Amino acid sequence: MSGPTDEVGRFSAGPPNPGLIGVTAPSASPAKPADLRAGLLMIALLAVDVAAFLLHKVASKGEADESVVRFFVKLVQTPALWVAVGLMPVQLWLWTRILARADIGWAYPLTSLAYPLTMILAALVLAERYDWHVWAGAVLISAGAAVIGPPMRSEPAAAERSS
Amino acid sequence: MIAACILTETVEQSLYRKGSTSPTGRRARFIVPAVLLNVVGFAMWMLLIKQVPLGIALPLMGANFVTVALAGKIVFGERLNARRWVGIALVLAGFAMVAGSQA
Repeated sequence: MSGPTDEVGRFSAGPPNPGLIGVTAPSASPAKPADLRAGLLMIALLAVDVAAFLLHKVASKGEADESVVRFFVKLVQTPALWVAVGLMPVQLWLWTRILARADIGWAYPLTSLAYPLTMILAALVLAERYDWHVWAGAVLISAGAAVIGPPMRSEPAAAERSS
Repeated sequence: MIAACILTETVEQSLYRKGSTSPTGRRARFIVPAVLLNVVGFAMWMLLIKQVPLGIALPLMGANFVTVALAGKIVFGERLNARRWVGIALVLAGFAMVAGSQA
């Protein structure tokens, strides 16, 4: 069972967000073991996530000294931006398909793989170079994000009790 | 710019959280500003990655996981278990490594 608020959390346009929301849908259903289809959907979602981040970077290219207004005027005329925006509903759709088939406790930590995967692709495709501190730090951050995990469902929050 | 991105994201998520537990008729007053903040946050993200390599900016945004978890604890009284504190420590250690390499 997935409440609509989960999807809003995943849908954020910029960097991946932890989806604090979603606490309103206590999942009483038993944990669903992830099947092959869920795994393939997850791979597709990660691919789209990585593609969206690379498109953001491509779209954000500009001269160092241009004004902020000029930057955004150019940005909205950049096809890469609109391809990335067009991927947002695809990301949302894939995420809802995954949650319909698999437990969020399995799916959510895997989404943080998008960080290191994007870095690998940025190094290969965009020729970005990072020293080992950055790689190690990124691995720690992804692991930490996976450990923090999805919003807890079972505990009613104080805000709900008081209102 | 990084701090601004993280702050925007944290406030946005807190507004979603507040909206999601509000009575139906009052939800819009939290959800609408949250959606607007999503657009603002995206604009700031684009400004950030114009200046910083994607592979630096992206892991630094991982700090969102910490600030949102802490906002849940401080603003909404959600409890953080030991596993989550471990995750927060890992993210902060990674953040320090990435940010430190840029200093």
